[in-house]
Amino acid sequence: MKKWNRGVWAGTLLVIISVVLLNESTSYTYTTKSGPGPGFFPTWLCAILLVLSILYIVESVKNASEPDGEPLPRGESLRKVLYITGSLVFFVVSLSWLGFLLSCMGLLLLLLHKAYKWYINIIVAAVITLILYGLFDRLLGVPLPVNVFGW
Amino acid sequence: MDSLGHLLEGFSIALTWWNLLYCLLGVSMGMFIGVLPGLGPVAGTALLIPVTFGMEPVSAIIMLSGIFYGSMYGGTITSVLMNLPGEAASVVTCIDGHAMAKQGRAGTALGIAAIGSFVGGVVAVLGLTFLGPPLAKYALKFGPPEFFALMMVALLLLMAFVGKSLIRGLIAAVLGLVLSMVGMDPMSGSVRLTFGHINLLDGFEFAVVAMGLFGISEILINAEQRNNKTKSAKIQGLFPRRDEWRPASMAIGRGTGIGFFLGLIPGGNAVIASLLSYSVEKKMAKDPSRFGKGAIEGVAGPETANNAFSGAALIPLLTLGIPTSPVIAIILGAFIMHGLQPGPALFEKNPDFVWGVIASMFIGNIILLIFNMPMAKVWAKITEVPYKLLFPIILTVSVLGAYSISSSVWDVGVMLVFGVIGYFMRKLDIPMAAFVLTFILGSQIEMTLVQSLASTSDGFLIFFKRPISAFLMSLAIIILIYNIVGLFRKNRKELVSDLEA
Repeated sequence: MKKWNRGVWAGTLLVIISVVLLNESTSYTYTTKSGPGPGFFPTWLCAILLVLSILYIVESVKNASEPDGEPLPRGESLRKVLYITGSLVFFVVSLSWLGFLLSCMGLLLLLLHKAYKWYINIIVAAVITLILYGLFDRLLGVPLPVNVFGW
Repeated sequence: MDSLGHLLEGFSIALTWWNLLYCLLGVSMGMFIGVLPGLGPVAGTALLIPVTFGMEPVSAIIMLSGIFYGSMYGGTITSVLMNLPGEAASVVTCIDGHAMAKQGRAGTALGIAAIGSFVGGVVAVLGLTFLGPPLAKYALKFGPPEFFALMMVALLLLMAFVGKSLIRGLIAAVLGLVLSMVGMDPMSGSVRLTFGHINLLDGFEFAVVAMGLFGISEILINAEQRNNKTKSAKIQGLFPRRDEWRPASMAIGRGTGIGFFLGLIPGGNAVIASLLSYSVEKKMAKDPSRFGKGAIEGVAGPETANNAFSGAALIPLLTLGIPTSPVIAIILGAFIMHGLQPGPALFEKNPDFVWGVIASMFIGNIILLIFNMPMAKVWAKITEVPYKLLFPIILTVSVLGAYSISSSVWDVGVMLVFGVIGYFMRKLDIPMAAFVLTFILGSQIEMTLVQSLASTSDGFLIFFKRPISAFLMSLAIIILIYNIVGLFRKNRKELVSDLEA
């Protein structure tokens, strides 16, 4: 019997999170002379979250036969989702190293992969990067990160 | 009437060609800022103040106000077309607006948003004109207890967002509250739940969270489609169907009231106005299950509310010199920089200025309407761009937008994380709207509660001793009872149908 469906996984994760946060919350002052202290609300909220998470697990076990929400991705779809997530991670990591211009090119090239022929991809990526650079860095005055070479 | 005479004089000032030009510029820049994800009206207005240095005070304020309500509208465009909230208050428009876009009704969604925004904005300006001073004084009676009571009403109306499972809805709501507590607690100064991360000292930036939860998760979900099929249906007209006009108009009416009211009281912000409007619409609809799938009231109400809010928020500023929200505070700064002291004296000492600004707000709203009604179809054409080109652009712009808020890569990372969280929330059918509402209200709820309790020795009784908050708390309790009864009735009905089946 499929007891361990995704709701149970999610619920368990939530239980762990609420316990960790609850633990942290209780280390703050609970009440002060003039009323509730900083620890008051977080503690209560985490406690409620804990109870709710357990109820969620129970509910998920009960409804194991009819899982709600959309199905989880498999195979091709999963790879696509991971690919996009990975590209974004690449961008975040490389931004301070490669500077904006290169990271943005990189991100766009990754995302445009197989969209058009490779040289068109490069042109599109370059054009978009330059437009965005002009927009944010020049027009709006938002300083964008530069790489070790200074650009 | 006295005001009418002043207003006409104001028009004569506002309609000079250069002030018209500034109004146009302001509204356009505002729209542009609204469209760009991440850069919200606060940052945008602040960034553009230096541009106004050389200008006449009237012109400067005309332009800045134009930016303010222009950005409210710009955010709608990306919310509807790409499920990406261009700025915080448009989060709610994503829900039904984007659903409508998927049905090929993007033009209609944008059209009704334009109409609603216009009505909301104009009514707010009318309110400012004729009711300004007395209203503002009344609004000042709102102290922490009243505000807390109002939040309770909002939270209970939130049950509208709960969806199929009460438990999951509550989890979303509580999670929102918990996450809103991350960072430095303004009341005690202690740093909470940051686990040592410096970047979390100010908590999570709402715009970043919203962009991740809605925009990024949308892209991730779409990535699963096996062959990037062109999913845009043919774009239909600009106007709602015959049978939709009535509910849409009612939604606009209610949205105006809600937005206007919230704009007056200190501490509100446009997001609350639109969220509240959405909850109310869902509650009042004959068939609430349409919401989330393209119910026109879900767009008309919130959009009207946030424009009415923007207009009304200027009332306390102009009449009492009190800024009620961050953007207004920036506009106040602009006032002072130009040598003007907003407040009751302003009406007497510089009537030309005040009425010039008020008149230009009418004009600004008209400009917005003219811009956007015919343009709506043009905007909607963006959905026809091939998705494989569109989504990299959307992602990159979002990433840049998130970065530009505080020039921080951390925010981009947070957006990504919330994108993944949002993805899973959709998979698990945990309502994101509930999370967003409590997240944005969380710190204020706590703050007003603590302030209320700290100011008195009566404990919780204070909420019932003051007339306004007593009224609101009673309202909240009534809504609570109504919800619980509704829940039992639903369960009984299901039980009955189970037995019969």
